[in-house]
Amino acid sequence: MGEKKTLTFAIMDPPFESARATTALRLMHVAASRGYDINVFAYEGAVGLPFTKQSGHANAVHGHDADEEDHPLPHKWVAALMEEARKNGGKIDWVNCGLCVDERGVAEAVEGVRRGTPGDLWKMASASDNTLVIPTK
Amino acid sequence: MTLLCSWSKTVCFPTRPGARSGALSDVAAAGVEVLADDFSLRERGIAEASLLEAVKPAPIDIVMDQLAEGRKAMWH
Repeated sequence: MGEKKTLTFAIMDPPFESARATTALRLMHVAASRGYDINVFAYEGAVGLPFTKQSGHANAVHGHDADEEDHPLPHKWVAALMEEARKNGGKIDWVNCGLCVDERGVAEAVEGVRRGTPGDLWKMASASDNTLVIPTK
Repeated sequence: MTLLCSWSKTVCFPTRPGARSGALSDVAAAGVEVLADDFSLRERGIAEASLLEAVKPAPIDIVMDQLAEGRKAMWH
């Protein structure tokens, strides 16, 4: 493994909408697999990514019940990322914009997610080797 | 400078020759390394052989390599 890095990601896209959120999580997965320390500042719709009340559903078109459909749920991806980082000696500090959470009623988040403000993004970026901002369109 | 094309119909699809691929050819001709996210290409059924000559498929890991090097990254 190379030198340990600390990277910050700012993400804005909600779950189940565009591939931007998925690509952001793919990038974080690469960083987690390398054991990097990862900071995430999620704002606007992205605060819904770790929302634990997301639930799968059946698919009548395909004749699948909920178990067979095994609908992908971003909160499970976020939890898996947390575990991947831990397993490889890194960590993820995921901050959800608190006002954005309140607006959307998505306070129930996976373990390890905390509330914060844009000031946390500034602190994270200041203490990181690099920062990638992924804005929405 | 490196440009990684990923995910969208507006960004990934123009890596193939066509009416909207001119800008990518122009930036490649100017010396920009133009890469296409191999995962996104597979999702959309875009074969490597169908890419513009100037565009090379690459894993998303290359973004992490360059972030770790401290290269400035802009998401557009």
